[in-house]
Amino acid sequence: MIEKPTDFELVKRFTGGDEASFNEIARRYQQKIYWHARRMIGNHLDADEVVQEVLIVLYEKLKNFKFQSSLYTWVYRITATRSINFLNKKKIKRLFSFDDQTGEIVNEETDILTRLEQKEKMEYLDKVLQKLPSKQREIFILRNFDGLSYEEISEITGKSVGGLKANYFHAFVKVNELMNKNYGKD
Amino acid sequence: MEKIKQLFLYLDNQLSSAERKQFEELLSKDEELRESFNKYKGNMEELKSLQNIEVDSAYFSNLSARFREKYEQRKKPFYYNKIAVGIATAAILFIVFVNPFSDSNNLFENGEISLEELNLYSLNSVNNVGKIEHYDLDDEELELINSRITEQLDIPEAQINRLISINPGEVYRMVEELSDKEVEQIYNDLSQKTIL
Repeated sequence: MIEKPTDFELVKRFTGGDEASFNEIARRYQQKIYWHARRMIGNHLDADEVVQEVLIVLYEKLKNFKFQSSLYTWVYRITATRSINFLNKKKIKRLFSFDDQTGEIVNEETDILTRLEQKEKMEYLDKVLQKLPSKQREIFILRNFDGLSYEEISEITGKSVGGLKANYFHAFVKVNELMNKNYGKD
Repeated sequence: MEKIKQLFLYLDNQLSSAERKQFEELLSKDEELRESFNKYKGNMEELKSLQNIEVDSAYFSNLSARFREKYEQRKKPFYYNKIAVGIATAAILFIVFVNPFSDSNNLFENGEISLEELNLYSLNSVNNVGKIEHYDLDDEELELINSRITEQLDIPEAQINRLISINPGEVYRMVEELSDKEVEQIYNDLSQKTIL
């Protein structure tokens, strides 16, 4: 049985000029990138834009990656930063518009969820998560869905473990309050 | 709230084994706590179950090719980026510092211009509608607003006119050109001024 190359080996090959190794790295992390962005932003089209951005950053910066952290943590750091940045830009753009909806028109037909039941589940999740402030949403997603430790989240976000625990607690309380009121299910 | 905190620490695996045991004992005695515990645990399990969502596999198999296409399109002349970033920052800072949406803005101090009028003016300006008279602001009022903006910002009127003539589409493109640091700075300024 052929062993899969490690992240370290793939990065080395890519920096040595092997473009195919980048595709393998992208394949390895694309689902994690997508779902983090999707849960942060709340729709497929915008999440797709963030995924493309993250891949571009990875492609451009990977040559300088020194393995001072794991590739896994680094990819998450880029994804988390790009997602927050996307949300901030969106709010700034909204300021320049008469219509609150401008720039936020999302074609609900464009999605990668194929079954109606799955779409409904995802819509419900999006509604609940979008009620959290973006920083609380970030920690909630990293902890609850991505299953990362506080130490890993601290490395990704640059925040102290104590601060993260407090933020996660606030997010936990808010999410449960919403769910207990059946928010988003009507 | 203290009980919720304990419940959270238990579910988040933040308790030592002795503390866990203590909490479980409390749980067996306190019916109200047990009810809350079951509800919160159920909620978290429901959320986790939403992780296993089936998606269209074609999206992920085409992702690398689509990213490379976008990467090639992205390459632009350096000077364009520099100019765009400069104008974008100036345009957004104009809104931040003039802060026409705030009730406490200095522009209203003498009460000659109503909040509504200035809001209309500001919306008109940033959207480049070009029909100021449509909002019933006469020349005198407009001149007064312009001179106050100029005084406050201490920059030439021509430059102000350039900034307010930028249309939303242009601004959207410009915002895209801002660096992460600039976006964060502008976002924080806007948030502090409760514009966003």
